[in-house]
Amino acid sequence: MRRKLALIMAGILVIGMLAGCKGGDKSGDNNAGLNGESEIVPEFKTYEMETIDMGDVMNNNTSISNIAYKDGTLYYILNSYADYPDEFYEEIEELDKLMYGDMDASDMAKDNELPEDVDKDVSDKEASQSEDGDGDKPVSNDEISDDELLGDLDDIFGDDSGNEDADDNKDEEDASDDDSPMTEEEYNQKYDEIVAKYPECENTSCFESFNLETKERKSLLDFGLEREGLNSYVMFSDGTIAILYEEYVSDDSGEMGETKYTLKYYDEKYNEKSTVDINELLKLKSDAYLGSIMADNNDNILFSMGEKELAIIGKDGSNKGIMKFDDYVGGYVVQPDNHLIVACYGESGNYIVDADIETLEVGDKILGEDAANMWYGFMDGNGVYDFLSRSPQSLYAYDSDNKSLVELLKWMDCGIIGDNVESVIPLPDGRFICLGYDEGGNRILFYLKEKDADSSSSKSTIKIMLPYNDSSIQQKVLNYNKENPDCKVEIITFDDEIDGFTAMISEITMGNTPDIINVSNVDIENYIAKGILEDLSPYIQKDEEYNEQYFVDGLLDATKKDGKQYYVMDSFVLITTSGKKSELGKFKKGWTMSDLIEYYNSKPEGTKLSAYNTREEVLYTYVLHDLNQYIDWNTGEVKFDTEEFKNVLEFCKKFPEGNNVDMEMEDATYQDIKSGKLLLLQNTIGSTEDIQLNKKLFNNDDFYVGFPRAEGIGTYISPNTAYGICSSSENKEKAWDIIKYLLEPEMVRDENGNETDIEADSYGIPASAERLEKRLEKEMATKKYTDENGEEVYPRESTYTYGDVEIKLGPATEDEVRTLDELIKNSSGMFNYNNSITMMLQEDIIEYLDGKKGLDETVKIIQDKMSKYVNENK
Amino acid sequence: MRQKKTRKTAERIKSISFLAPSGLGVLTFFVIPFFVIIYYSLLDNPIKKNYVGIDNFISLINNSAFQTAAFDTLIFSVIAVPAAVVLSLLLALLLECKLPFRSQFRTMFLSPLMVPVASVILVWQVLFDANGALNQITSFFGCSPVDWLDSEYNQLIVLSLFLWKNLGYNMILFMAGLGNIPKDLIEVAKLEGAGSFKIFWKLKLRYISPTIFFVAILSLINSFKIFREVYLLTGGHPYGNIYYMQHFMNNQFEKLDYQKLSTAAVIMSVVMVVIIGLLFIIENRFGREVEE
Repeated sequence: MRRKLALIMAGILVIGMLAGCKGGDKSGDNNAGLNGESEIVPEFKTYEMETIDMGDVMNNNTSISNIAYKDGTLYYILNSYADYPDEFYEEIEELDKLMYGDMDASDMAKDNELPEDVDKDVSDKEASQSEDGDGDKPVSNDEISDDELLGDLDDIFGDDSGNEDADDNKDEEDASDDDSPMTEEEYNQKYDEIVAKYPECENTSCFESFNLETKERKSLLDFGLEREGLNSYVMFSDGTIAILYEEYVSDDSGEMGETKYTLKYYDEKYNEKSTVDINELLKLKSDAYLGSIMADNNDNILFSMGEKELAIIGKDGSNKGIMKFDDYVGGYVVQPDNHLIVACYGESGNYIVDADIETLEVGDKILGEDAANMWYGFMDGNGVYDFLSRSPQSLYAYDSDNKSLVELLKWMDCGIIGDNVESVIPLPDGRFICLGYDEGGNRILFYLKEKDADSSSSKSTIKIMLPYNDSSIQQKVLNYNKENPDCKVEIITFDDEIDGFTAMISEITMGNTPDIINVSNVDIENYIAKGILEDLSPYIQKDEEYNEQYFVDGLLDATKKDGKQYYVMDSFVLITTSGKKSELGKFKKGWTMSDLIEYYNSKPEGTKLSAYNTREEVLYTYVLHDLNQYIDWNTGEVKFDTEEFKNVLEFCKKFPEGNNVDMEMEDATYQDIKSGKLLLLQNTIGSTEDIQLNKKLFNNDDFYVGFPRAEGIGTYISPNTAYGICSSSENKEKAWDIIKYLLEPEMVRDENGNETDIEADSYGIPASAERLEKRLEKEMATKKYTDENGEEVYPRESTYTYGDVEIKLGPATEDEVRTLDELIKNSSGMFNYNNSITMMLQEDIIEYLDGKKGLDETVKIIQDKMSKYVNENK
Repeated sequence: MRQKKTRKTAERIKSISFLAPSGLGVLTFFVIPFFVIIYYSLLDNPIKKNYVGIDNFISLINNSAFQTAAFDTLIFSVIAVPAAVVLSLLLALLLECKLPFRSQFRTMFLSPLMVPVASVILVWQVLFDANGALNQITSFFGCSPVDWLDSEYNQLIVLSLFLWKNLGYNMILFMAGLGNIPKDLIEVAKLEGAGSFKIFWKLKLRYISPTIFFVAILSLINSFKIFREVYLLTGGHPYGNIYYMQHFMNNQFEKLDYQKLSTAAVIMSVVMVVIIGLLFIIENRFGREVEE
């Protein structure tokens, strides 16, 4: 017994010693990076931002990039910009006139779509209204009749009788008559001469250092205009640097060329010491592309050669060899033991391998796809960690003992969006130096230092669940967390999953419910049927500000289900179909597939139903999007074996198969509508501009008939972001407060500290009635004015091109605003994304359309399958 | 006496400790999940978790899709299980005779057991697809091609697949059972003038009744497992009468409707318990004579 005990003790001692030696060897070999510090064990912590005061290094006209750190000093490339003065732009304008001819205001007025007599009418009305003392208030065109507004459209578009060609010829003649006094070469020369007059305004770059303790700033190397060719640089262990330059050199013909790569070595005084012609050294092909350079612990320089090779060049400029891989090289980092960690991607998948720089041998896979997919975020560990990897959500460090990536922090917890972080350098004291952008797009340099966890544990936590990451929601949540220290909002996303929507609902039904759910583009009927969503009507009714009057008129009614409001949205677009009012105006309350078929069959052969006119478009756009006309979900009855559905399938068969649509079909849209060859257009309406464009395309005979459906008008609301509260949430009142915050636009501070609504002019109809009114005010402006925020508002002016035809759009009219209002009120709610039925039917329908099955057989099969499906869901 | 008791206790503890790992596994992966399923079947939805009693069961029994699935499963089992038992018994009796190439036949019938499911699916698709081998043969006789898996004949195809897969193993079990019948009893019967049929009916059948019982249960279980091949061949909502209980439950799982899924699972397990209980009673009655 004693002998046994002694043996066991001895065994434990031996094992302990071996483990200790292994750890000791590891630390002994650690001569990592530039600083040679020992490693910190990677573990998750919470950090907070602390801005680094760099004095006047970063201001409105400068930014830094390519940061490196050594012994308390930050090294970076400083890029300087300056605004050219007005004189510069005046000279350029004069030069343009010489080159392109004199385009004065009268010429620009001729290009305007409104006929001259309408211009006069508008200007007369403006004049009379200003006499009445309306001042700068914008004037709308609502008192002008449609005929006056449109005038003679042939003047705008040209007619088909050949006069258009005559007009085109005339334009060409006019152009040729204006002999430009200079050639392009002369123009470029003159341009360069003007630029040279303002050397202080040119973009310049230099290599600088900044001591973080003493705040001493030094300019080390001025790149001047060579910045244009600067690829990247490395810093060696002795503090000297090497820079890789690239320059595209074209041949005599100007059509072919190659990129010349030059590696320049600098001494400790930053004087150029030697130059290496990389193209010559590595015998590069003409289309070679080199990645950024990196130094290993022995001062060799490594860089990717674009495909499956990594080149290694010694500090003396000699070619140390090429490392070859089986797959394409993504990111790579040097480890403390001078081994290389390389992320590869190819047909066999994504993975990470270990490679020996000295022997050029590529080893085995050490990490799988999850880690390899973050190769774009690989960063040097600076001797503190083996290496770092960055994802939009978190920062990771490689744990060589466990051969895994360990999460160090979550960006949102630190108060920054992960996508806004560009570079991270870990420091031996546990902090990080980060270079990135703030919410206003301004460059920032900051520390991340460990935060006391106690303060965060007492906060209430509200969880928001999204299928995929959304940076605008992230920013709003960050802002909310900063403004409300007593509450913390967390975002849960499923970016790593194949299907974030499925992953989200699976998580919820398993009981991991959040407080707020992003229900944009989900199968909303399924969510409602499962009782996941809370009825928001009581919250809306009792809210003083975000009540029914807050939302656009008709929006809440259009999105209710069985009298309950399950979600609210910040903005949306309308999805519908339009055609000619003279032909479809009778379908004021919507139409069915039978109506559509009858309408199409009344047209001559060769008429296109829609722009691409393929059977797939007809099937997925008009047939499968709404099958409720064949299904009674309450009784479980299905009617796919009826003559009506048979007619629909036969109708689809009339159209050609077309998986490859080309742009010519879209370019011909205007001409096809005008000639009556094209019947319907699918529309996404995000502003009155879309309505005006449609009006022009249909020659003022536009009518929004909607998609065919069992009942109602087939116009749907597609929200930008829709939020619902989970019925099992324990913080519903707080969740409602946060939703209200999220509904408001994102305000960011510019470099002058002024707040700007960055969503003010974004595409989409605001759900807020007040914001929509302001938006429409801007869209209807016929002359420049200054709004209540001091911003100048210009009349809308845009151009759409369909082939050779240019359609110019101007300010919105009252009629267009009315149309928008009607579309919202008559919409049939949020479009329900139910792919299950589509997936189930399409196989059998496609077999029929391909001629593999008969009509009766197909219909019988569909009837049977759908009957089972519908009854399963009853 | 005390020593005896202590030894018994020690032995009991020893037995329990050896059984514990397996018991823990069965508890964790079978027993507890089963009670969780029963719990889910008594709720309205996984979010609100309101107790609704047997409302889910009533609603499910009245659901026409569930009724269709249950009926199709019943029909298939009623046809396939007896067919599997009878045909495999006949094969076993055939191979009991001194036929040439007996072992080759045995190998041929056993080989489907070794074929992976994916290969089986591939072969069946090649045979019965609209452009498959069977249509090539029928078109030779002037018949138009039929998508057999989307036709009224798909039940026969599934039945043939089931029999092809299971006959071999059942046949081996019967051969083992027949081999265990005492030879002297058969000799005595022959001496007393009993014919082959009487020997089989009165003697062999009684002796192999435990085997018949075992093969029947195995075939019943395998008749449910055929869902895997049917799902891979025809999807989640097959045409015709091959829409089984597992289709219904699998579709509920995909839709994350755990209430209907759990309710259907509970009903199915109750039905299985009843059927197997009946089989046990029948076997008990027949088998007792043999044991005696």
